[in-house]
This record gives sequence, structure tokens and C-alpha cells, in this order.
Amino acid sequence: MRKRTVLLIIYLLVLFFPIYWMINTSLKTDNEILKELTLIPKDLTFKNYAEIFTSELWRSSFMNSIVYVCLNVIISLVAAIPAAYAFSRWKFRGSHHLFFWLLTNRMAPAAVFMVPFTELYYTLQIYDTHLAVALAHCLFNIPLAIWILEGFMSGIPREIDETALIDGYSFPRFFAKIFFPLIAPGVGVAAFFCFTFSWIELILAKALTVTNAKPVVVTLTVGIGAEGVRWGLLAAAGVLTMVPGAIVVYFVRNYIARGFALGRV
Amino acid sequence: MKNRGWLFVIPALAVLAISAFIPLMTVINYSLHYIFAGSTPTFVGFENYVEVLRDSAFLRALVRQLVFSMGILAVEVPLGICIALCLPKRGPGVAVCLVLLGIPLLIPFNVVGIIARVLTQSAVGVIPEFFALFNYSFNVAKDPVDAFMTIFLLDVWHWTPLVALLCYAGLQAIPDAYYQAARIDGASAWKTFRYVTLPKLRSVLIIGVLLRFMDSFKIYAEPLLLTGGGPGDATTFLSLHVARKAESYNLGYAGASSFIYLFIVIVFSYIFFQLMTHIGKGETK
Amino acid sequence: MWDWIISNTSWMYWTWQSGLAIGGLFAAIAFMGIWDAVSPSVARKGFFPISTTRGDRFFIGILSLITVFLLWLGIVGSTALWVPLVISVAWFAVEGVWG
Repeated sequence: MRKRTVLLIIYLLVLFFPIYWMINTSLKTDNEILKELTLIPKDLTFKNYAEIFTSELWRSSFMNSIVYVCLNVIISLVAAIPAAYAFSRWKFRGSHHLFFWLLTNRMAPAAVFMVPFTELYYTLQIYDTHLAVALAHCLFNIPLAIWILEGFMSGIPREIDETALIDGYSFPRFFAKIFFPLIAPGVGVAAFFCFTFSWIELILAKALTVTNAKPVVVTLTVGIGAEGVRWGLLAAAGVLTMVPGAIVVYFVRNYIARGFALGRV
Repeated sequence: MKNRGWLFVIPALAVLAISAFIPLMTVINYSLHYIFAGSTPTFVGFENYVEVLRDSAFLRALVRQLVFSMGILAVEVPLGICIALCLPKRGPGVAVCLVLLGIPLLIPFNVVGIIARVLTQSAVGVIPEFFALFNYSFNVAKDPVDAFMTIFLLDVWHWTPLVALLCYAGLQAIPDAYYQAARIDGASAWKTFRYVTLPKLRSVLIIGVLLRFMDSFKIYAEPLLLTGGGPGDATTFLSLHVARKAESYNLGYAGASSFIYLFIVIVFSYIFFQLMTHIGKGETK
Repeated sequence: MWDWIISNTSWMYWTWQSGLAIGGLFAAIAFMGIWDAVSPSVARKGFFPISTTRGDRFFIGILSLITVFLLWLGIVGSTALWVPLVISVAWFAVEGVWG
């Protein structure tokens, strides 16, 4: 038992070293980053964070990200909840194949769809809007949400549906009053995963935005490759991109393990 | 009557028609034509496919990708199981550990790339400094092996917690009675693991393998940010290769290579999916 | 209406050949659906390690057809495409009946 705890602590230290290093970098001056290797900032500064909070570009990038991510979570859940209910309750014609087709969308590499998306959203005249990115991210988020919710819904006995319908509940009333509260943790977990995957996605977000909806992940990459990369600034922005996820993970902590197992344990 | 299930699926299908179906058809169209900006497309049959399949850059990217993904599975799955076994089973430590394990998964891919850049900067990064102690000059911009291993370890760092969380969820679902029975039978720790724990973990492990396979096959942002796919093409994975062709509007090539890419992922995933659903039935119901 | 459709889908680069290919695939799926409605298929165990329904065998057939074509195109080139066609049709029949 002791040995396990020691191993676990070592692993967690290794796990957090890169994150610690980024926080460390974000609190240093550019001069210190480029000149020497220090385990704790010699010359503690919050200048990098101050610059991000006062810069219009960074502020609007963070706002853009939050807007399209939230939009995507809403679209994904609205589309996924009924579909997941159908998959968990009935074995309809072709359901098996349909489910696999959904899964293939979760696997589809975003690089494959980059050009068609650009062309399609130009035609629909929503290129460089939040809606474009939100819809594009549905490619992998709807299948994922269906997958997770289906796992959670399958865990709820079918008898509950039947009893409620016999008791004279109409279907929408049953769904809202009885079924939804039962799967609420599952919905929370699905929302969390959609949030995360939309938040961290880069290829499509980069391909579908120019200026109006430019998200923070794209702003982050722009500085790279140019001469004199501002490491402190990038590290600070990187730390800030972790904050929303860390807040959300705190709320779903009791379900997170089950959620990662797609509700299937 | 069962087929009313289709009614419930319509909203999801409607959104996916826009965000998956039409783009997929377009990719297939690209792959079958010779397209030059602005002109009418010329149907060329499978010419693009022949070009892609005989392009050594594509084949090398494919082999590199397969080696990478298989390596990822070979390292992350056993490591994830070990970590899950080390996690406390109950008590106040559980929530803390789960949240701590969850945090790396929430870091955007390109931030991971930035972390890698910061850690491996040639002059003052931690990793080159560390290797300098052993008189090894570690340089991701010059040495292909260093670059590949950096990306590999980065992925292991980023995603092993996912496998660990999955396995932990699976372990929690094993009733204590199984372990008690094994103890009464006098089974050794290894035998208990091999014949009690592992079979029960099988269904979550398949989910883990499926997710890790799919996602490691899509790796893009980390190599792009670390070295832009270099040095040479040491970290040019399939996504990077395809995206580069698509960005230069070489649509026929990009379409054909995308289709092959997608097809490989589908074949592998179909096999995993069959394993998952058929084993899942036997195990959980 | 028709002009509107044409002008708004020009970016998809349709030609009649690709339309035929994709339309054919849709028709095949629709046909499988209708066939299954008329006489529902029962899962059975053939030489595949899993028990399959008619739809599963159709899907495996499509996957192997594409595999055979890709291998042929990669190894031989786009000449004599009837060879992989014959191979895959034969395989399709074999796994469709005994798979």
C-alpha cells in the first residue's frame, strides 16, 4: 500500500512538472527566460498577465472562444439527447450501422474536412462567424455526446419509462419531469466533454476564422515562429486557457471517471 | 413501431449533414477530379489515388503515423492500468486525484505544443539542460529522433491520465467479493490481476484503445508548433501532410489522401468497435 | 431553382461520374434498407468470427472492395481495373453467402 502511494505521488509530480513550468515561465520577465534556467522566478512579475488583460486582441479572442464553445455545447446537446434516447431504448432498422457511422465522425481527422468546410461556410455566408466554428465542431462533439449519453441512459432501467407511460404521463412530460433529472449527471458530463474538445480544437478553428471570430487558440499560435517569440506572454495566455476547463472539471469531479468511460461502467 | 427511433435521430442527422456529410462528399469529389482553381473540374478517375499511393512522402507519413499510434497504445495502456491500480479506492484522496488527473486533458493541443517549446528551447530549456548533464546535446530542431521522442512523450504525458481514469472507473465497478474469493483461493497478486481484474477491465480498455487510437491518429498541433513537422519530415504525421496539401490547394491530392486516411481509421475502428460491442454484451449484461 | 442549386454547389465539383458513384452508394444503402423491411435479416454465424446480419456483410464487403482497389492502385497503377473489380465482386459474393 505504501509503495503504491509513493509511485502515485511520483507520477503526479511528473504530470504536473510541465504545467508548473509553464506557470513559472509566465511569471518571469522575458529577459530571465532567455538568459538562464531558474526553477522559481527570480524576479516575480505579473506584467505578462496584465498585458493580456489590457490587450483588446487577447480579450476579444477569449470572448470569441467562449461564445462559439457555448454555442457548440448547446447545439450538440439539443441534437444528441433525443438521438441518445433512441439508441438506448430501441434497436431500430439500421441503428447499429448508424451508430457506427456517428462514431466515424468522431474519428474523422479535422485536416480532411478543412477545405470543404471553408467552401461550404462561404456559400452559406457564415464564414468567419462564431456559428461556423460551432457547427464545424459538431462533427466530433455530437457523436461524442451521443456516445456518452447513450451509456448513461442505458444504465436507467426501461421499466421506468413503461411505468411512467402507464401512469398517464405524456411523453414530453415524462422526459422533462422523470427522465431528465435521472440523466442530469450524464448531461453534465457530456456538456463538459463537448466544452473541452471544442475549447482545445485548433485546425478547424484556425481554418474557419479570420478576424471577427478569431479564437484564443489561434491567437496563441500566431506569435510562434516569428523572431523574438514572447515566451512569457504565450505561457501566461496558455495558463489562462486552462482556467475554464479547470473550473468545469471541479463541478463534474464526481462523474468524471464514469464520463471518461462513456457512462459504460 | 421501433422505427420511430429515426424521428429522434433527425436533429442530430440534420446538423451532421452540414458538418459531416456534405464535406465528406466534397472530399470524395475532390479526389476523383483534376481541379485547377476557377476552371471546370476534369474527371480523372483514380489518377489522384495512384499519385498519392506512390508518393513516398505520403507513405512515409503513413508508416510514421502507424508506428506512432501503435507505440502510443503500447505505452499508454499498460501505464494507465498501473496508475489506476495505484489510485486510492476510497476516502478523501479520490476526488483530489481524479481532478488532478483530469487537468492535463483540458489543456488545448497548441498549449501543449507551447509547453513543449518552452521545455525544449535549445539555449535554456529544461530538457536540453538535463541532457547536457550527460554530455548529450538534445536538439529538437536538428535531431529527428529527439523531435519524434519529444512528441511521443508529450502525447504520453497528455493522454495517459485518460486511460488511467477509464481503468479507474472500470476497477470501481468490480465488486469486492471477487477479490475476497481470489484471496480465499490463495491466488497470488499477479494471478488475481490476470484472472480477476483484467477480464473485468476489458470493456473499458477497448474504449480506451479506441479513443487513443483515433486521437493519436489525428495528431496535428503538437508537431506543428514544436518543429513544424521537422527536422526534415521526422514529425510530419498524416494530418500535417494532408493539411499542408490542402493549404496549398492541391485539392485532388488532398482529397485522395484524405479519403485513404479516413478509410484506414474506419477499418481499424470497425474492428475495435466490433470487439467493443460483442465483448460488451458478454461482459456487462 | 435548378440554376440556384447548380450555382451554390459548384464548389463541390460535381461531375456526372462522381454523381453516379455517390448516388450508386446511396441507392445501394436504400436498397438494403428496403430489402430489410421486406424480409428482415437475422444475424447468423458464418466464417467471420462475429455473427453478422445482411447489413454487416454488405458493409464488410464495401470495406474490402475499397481495400482491394487501393492495394491494386498502389501496387499496379490504374491499369486493368477489371482485375480488382472481379476479385472484389467474387469476394463480395463469397462473404455475402457464407460469411
